[in-house]
Amino acid sequence: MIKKNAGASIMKQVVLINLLGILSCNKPFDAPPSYNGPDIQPNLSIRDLHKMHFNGNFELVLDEWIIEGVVVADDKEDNFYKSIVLQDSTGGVTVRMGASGLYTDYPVGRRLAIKLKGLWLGDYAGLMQIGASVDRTDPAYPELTGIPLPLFDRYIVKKNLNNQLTPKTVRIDDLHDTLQSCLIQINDLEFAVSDTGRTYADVINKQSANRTLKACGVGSVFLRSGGFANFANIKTPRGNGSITAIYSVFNKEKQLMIRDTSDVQMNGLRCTGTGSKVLFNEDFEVANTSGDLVLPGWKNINESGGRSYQGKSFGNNRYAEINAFAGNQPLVISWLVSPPVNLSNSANELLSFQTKDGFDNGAVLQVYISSNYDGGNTPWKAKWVVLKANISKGSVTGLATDWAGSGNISLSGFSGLVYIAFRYEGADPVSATDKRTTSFQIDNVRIVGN
Amino acid sequence: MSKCMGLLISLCVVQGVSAQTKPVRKVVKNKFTDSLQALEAAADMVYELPVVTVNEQSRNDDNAPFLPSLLAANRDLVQTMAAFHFNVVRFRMRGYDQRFSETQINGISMNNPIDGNTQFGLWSGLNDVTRNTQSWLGWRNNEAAFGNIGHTTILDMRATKQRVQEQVSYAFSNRSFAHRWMFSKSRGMNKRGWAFTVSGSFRFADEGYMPGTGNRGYSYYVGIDKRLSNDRLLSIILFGSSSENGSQAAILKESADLAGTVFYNPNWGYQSGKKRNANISKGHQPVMIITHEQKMNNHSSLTSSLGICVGERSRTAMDWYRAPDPRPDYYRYLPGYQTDSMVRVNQLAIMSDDESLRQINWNRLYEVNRNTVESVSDADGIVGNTVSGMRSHYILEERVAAVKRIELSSVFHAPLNKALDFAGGISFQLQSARYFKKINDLLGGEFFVDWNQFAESDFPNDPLAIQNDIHHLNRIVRKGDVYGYDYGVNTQKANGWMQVNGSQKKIDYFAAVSLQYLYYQREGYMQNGLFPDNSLGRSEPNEFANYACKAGITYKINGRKYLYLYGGVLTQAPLFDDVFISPRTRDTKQEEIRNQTIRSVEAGYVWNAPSIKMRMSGYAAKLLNGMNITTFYHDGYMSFVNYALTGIDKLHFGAELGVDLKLSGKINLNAAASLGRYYESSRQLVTVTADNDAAVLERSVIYSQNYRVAGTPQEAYGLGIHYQSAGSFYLDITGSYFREQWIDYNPLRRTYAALENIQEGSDQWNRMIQQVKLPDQFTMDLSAGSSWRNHFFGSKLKRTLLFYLSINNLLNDRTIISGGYEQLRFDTDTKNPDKFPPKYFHAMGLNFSINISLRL
Repeated sequence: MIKKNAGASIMKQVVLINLLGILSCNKPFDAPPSYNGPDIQPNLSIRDLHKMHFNGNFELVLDEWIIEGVVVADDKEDNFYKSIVLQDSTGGVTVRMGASGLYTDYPVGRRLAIKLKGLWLGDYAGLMQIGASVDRTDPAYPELTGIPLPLFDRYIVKKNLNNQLTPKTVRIDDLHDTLQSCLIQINDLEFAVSDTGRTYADVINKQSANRTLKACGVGSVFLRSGGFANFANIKTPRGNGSITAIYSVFNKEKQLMIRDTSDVQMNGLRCTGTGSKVLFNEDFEVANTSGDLVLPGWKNINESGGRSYQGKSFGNNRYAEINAFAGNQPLVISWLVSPPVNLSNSANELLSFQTKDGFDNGAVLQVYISSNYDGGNTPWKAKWVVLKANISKGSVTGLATDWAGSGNISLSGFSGLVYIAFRYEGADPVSATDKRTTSFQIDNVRIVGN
Repeated sequence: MSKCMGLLISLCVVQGVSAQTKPVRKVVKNKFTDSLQALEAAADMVYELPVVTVNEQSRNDDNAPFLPSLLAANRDLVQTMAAFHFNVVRFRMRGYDQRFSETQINGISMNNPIDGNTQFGLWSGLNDVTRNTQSWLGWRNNEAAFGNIGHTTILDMRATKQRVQEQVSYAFSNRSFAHRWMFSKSRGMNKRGWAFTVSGSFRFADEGYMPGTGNRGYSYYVGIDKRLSNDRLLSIILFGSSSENGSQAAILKESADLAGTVFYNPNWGYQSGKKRNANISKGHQPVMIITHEQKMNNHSSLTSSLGICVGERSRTAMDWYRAPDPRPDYYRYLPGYQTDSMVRVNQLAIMSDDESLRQINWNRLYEVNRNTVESVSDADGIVGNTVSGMRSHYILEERVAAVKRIELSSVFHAPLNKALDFAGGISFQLQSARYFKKINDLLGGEFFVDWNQFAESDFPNDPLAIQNDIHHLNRIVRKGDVYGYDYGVNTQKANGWMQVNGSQKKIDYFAAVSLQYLYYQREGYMQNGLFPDNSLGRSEPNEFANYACKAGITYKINGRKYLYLYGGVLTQAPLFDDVFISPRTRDTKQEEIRNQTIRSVEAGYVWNAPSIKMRMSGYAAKLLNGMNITTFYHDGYMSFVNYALTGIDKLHFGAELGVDLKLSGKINLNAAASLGRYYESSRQLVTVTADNDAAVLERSVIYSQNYRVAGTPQEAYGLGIHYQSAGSFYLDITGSYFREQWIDYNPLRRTYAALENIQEGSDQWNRMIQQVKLPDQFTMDLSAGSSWRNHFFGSKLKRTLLFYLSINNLLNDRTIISGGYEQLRFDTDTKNPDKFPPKYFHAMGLNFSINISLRL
C-alpha cells in the first residue's frame, strides 16, 4: 500500500508531469499556412532572353537574371512532357523539368519567376529551352536536361494562380520565331481532308503524330500531339474554326501543340470555296399520289398494326403521309427509311425536313439515324440514334396550315454510310379511349454538307 | 508418418519392459524428466537480469524480419548472449526465420497464422509480468508444445506466478523511448483463494534515437486467480499494449553521404516547426485468456485455456495521384541520378547544405492539394453528379489489419510409471482478419478519388479498369473512408501432439508426434475493375494436413557431463502470404502449392560443474520446397509484377559453444560462439505475373544455388566478464564480433534474361551476381546494477531501491549496419547493377537505458 509521505508525493508529481507529456504529444499537426514565395522581381524580358541564345549553341547563364511569366501550358493532359511553357508580354520559353505531374505545382495560369543563374540555355531543333545542364550522351544530338526536382524551388519562385491568358490572334503566315512557346490563336482553320476524323496521335504504340492544319487561304501548319496525351485517341474534327495552341518549331517545321482538345473549336463549315453541297434530297415529286408510298431506295415498313406511309399530293406538291386511323389496332408502328447516304467525303452535315400534323391526339413521329442498319425489312433490329428535331404538333381540329421546318440537325458526329428513318408510333384500339391516331405529312428531306 | 508412430510405440514398449525388470532410479522431481532442464533451473538467478527491450522500429519494416531472440533471460549461454548482445545485428539463432519459432502465453499461441510471426508487440511494456518465461531451442522436449526447429517460448502470466511485490520503476533512455514508467502490484493468494496482479506502463519520446521517430505507448495487465479447490485453479488475464511510433527507413549509402550521417531518416519533414513522420505504426490488440488447471492424483495435470485476441494494427504511408513522388530519397531526386557532372556536383552541394531538401516537404504537399481545384464527373457512380473542389493529389493512407482470433487449447501431462511421462495437447484456432486501407489525412485537400492510377495509364480505353471498386464508380473518399483494397482472410487451425519422456539411470529419451490442420480462404469485399471476376467474395479454400515427429536421447556420462542427440521431421503448410499472389486485388494463387518439408538433427555435449558450465552442439537442417511472393516495379516490363517463387530449399548447419567459467568467487567469464553456414540450396523457380492484368509474363529459373541466407550474421562470437560483488553490485562487460552477414538479394539479377549477352566472368557479370556481404562488425556492451534496502523518502518500512544501467555500443561505433537488402529493381536496359544500390539499416551509436525501481 502506498503511504502518504513526501517521497511518494514527489513521485506522484513526476508521474503526473510525465503523463502530461504523453497527452501533449497526441495533438494533431497544425496545417501549414498558405504558400507565399519570396517577392522577387524580373530584370529580363523573355524576348531579351531569346537574344542571349544562338541556335545550336548552349549558354550557361552566369548573371543574376530573373524572368517572370505566366504558365501557358502544363502537363495536365500529358501532351507536354516534363516541361512547362512560360510566357510574358514579350515572348515565351519552354522550361525542361526533371519530373512529371508538374501541373500540381505549376498549373496553367500560375505566375512564376525563374532565377536563371546557373541554368543553361539551348534549343531542341530550333525551339529555345531552359534546362539544368547539357546531356552529351549522344554527341551528335546534345540536349538540355531538366531541372532536378529537389532544386525546383532554388530556381523557380511560385507566385499567384489563375492569371487570365489571352492568346494572341495570328495568321499562319505570321508564325515565326518571335512567337516560339507563345499561346496563339489562329482562326478560319481546318484539318486537311486526309487528316480529318483521325486520332490526334497513335495511342496504341504511344507514338506522337503530326496532323496538317490548313487555312482557308494559303498556308499550313502541323498540329503535333504526343502518344501519351490523354486525348491521343480522340478523333480530329472535320469542320472549320479556330485553334488555340503553343507555337513550336522542329527545325524548319512549324508546329502547334494544344493543351487539350478544348483548344480546338472547329465546328463550322469547311472552306472548300464551293459552299455546301447537297448530299441527299427527297421532295417526293416523283412519288405515287395514292396507295402505299413506293420510291426507289426507300423502305416503307410496318412493324406493327399494318399501317404504311401513303403517297399523297395537295396542289402541285407531293409528300408522304402516315396515320393510325381505322386500324382497330392496339399498337401502330411504321418505318419510312431513306436510302443510304455517304458521309465519308464531307464535313458538317446538316439534316432538315418539313412536317405537318393533323387531328393531333398524341401519336408520335420521330427521326432516327443508323450506321449499322442492313437495308432489310427489320429495321427495328438495327441500332438507331434519335435525332432532336422540331416536328409539327398540336393541330387538334384539322390539318396544320403551314409546313414546320425540322431545323438544321447536325450529323457531324456520324460518318460512313448512314440511314435516316421516320418512325411513327400510334394506336387505334377498339375502345374509345387511348386513341392516338395523329396524321403526319413529311416532305423535303435534305442533307447538306461540305 | 507411420515411421513416427512406430518409433513412439516401440519406445513405449521398450520402456514398459525395462521398467519391470530393472531397478528404477529415483526420480527427484517429477516436474523435470529432462535432466538438462533440472540442472539449469537449479542454478538460481543471483541478480535480476535486465529485460531485453524489443526495438519497435526494427520490427516494422516489411523487408527486414527481425527476431528478438528471447524476451527474458534464459540460462542457455548462447541464447542469453544472443538475446542481450547479438540483437544489434538482428542475429537469428541458427539462421531460421521467425515462422519456425513459436510463442505461447498461458497455452495460447501468439503467432499470427497469416505470416507465421510472433506478435511481440502484443505485450511490449509489460516486463514486470512476463518474467516467468521458459524457452527451448530446436527439437528439445518440453511439456508445453511440440515445438519447431526454432525457439519454443512459453510465458506463464497467471497472477499466482508473479512475484508478490509492489514496484514502481522509471527508465530513462535514448533508444526508442525517452521515458518509461512502470507500476505493478501483485498480491499472493489469500485465505479465500484469490490472487491478483495488476501492472501497467507508459513510455514516450518526442524523438527516439533515430531522427523523426517519436513514439508513445501504454500497456496494461490484470490477472486474477481463484483456487477452486485444492487441485483446481482458475485464472483470467487481460492485457494489452497500445503503441504509436514513427518509423525509420532503410537508406542508400548515397543518402547517408548526402546527409553526412548514417542516422538519416527520409520518413519525416518539418510541418509547422515540428518533425512529422509519414510512416506511423500503431497497434492495440488486447488479449484475454481464461485458464483452468486441474491437478490430479499421481501428479497428472490438465490445463485448458481459452484465448481471445481482438484489435487493429496499422501503418500510414504516402499515397499520391498524378504528381511527383513525395519521398525525398526517391532515386531520381538524388544527385547520383544526374548524368551531368556539373549538375551532380551542384545538386550535391545544395542538398548537403539544405536539410529541407532531404526531408519531406509537407508545405508543398499542402499547397498542391489546396491549389488543385478539379472536377470529377459521374462521381460516386451517379450519372451527372459532378463533384468539384480541392482534390488531394497527396494523401496519407493508413493500411489497417484488423484481427479477431479465438483459440481453445488443452495440455495433459501424466506420469505413466515412475520413469515414464506422457504429455499431449490439442488446440483449435479460428481467426478472421480484415485488411484494408483508409484515408488518414487529406493534407489540406477536400477529397480523393478511389482510382487505380497505374491502371489508368495501362488501360487508357477501359473506363472500368481504373475503378478500385466497381460498385462505387468514381468514388469520392474523405478522411476515414476505406478505399483501394479491402479483403479478409479466414483461417482455421487445429493441432494435436503427444510426447513420451523417459528417464533411466544412464539415459533420458523422448519421442513425440504432432498433427496439424490448416485452412484458409480469402474473402474480397471490393470488386476491383481490373479483376471483376475474381476479386469479390470468397476464394476457393486451401486445406493442409501435416505431421511432425521427433525423438531424442541424452546419455549421462556422469552427474555433470551429458551427451545428447535429437532429430525430427516436420512438414509445414505454406503461409497465406506465400500462396496468394496479390490478395489486395484478386484471389489468384501460386500455380503449384506444396507443403514445406524440414528435416533436422542436433547433437551436443553439456558439462555442468561448479566452476564451469558449458554447452557444445552441432546441428544440421534441410528446409525443402519453400515458397515466397514479392511485388515490385519491373523496369523491363514497365509494370508492377508479382514475383512468385517456389522450390526454395535451404540448408543450415553449424556449431554452437557456450561457456561460463568461474575465475574466482566474484568473477565469471562468459563466452558464446555460434558458427553456422546457411545456404539457399536450390535453383528457385519464379512465375512473374503482371500485377495489373494477371498475365503470366514469364516462368524462369533463379540461379540462386548457394546464395547465403540473409539477414543474420552466420558467425557470432561473444566474450564477457561478469563481476559480482559480495553485496548486490554487479558489472557486465561483453564484446561481440559478427562475421559472414549477407543481405537479401534481388532475384531479378540472377536470371538468364538479366545475364544474357554479358560476358561470363566479366566485371559486370560478377557485380550482377555477387551477393553483398557486410563487413565484420564489433560492438561492446556494458551493464551494471545494484540495490539498496533502507528507509527511503522517510518511510517507516525498509524498502528496496534497485538501480540498473545498460550501455550498448559503448565505443559509439556509428558504422554498424544491422541489415539491408538489394532493391528489387534492375535496369534491364543498361544492366548496371549500381543504378539501384542496396539499402541499409544502421544500428544506433552509443545507447543507454537507466532504470530505477522502488519496491514499496
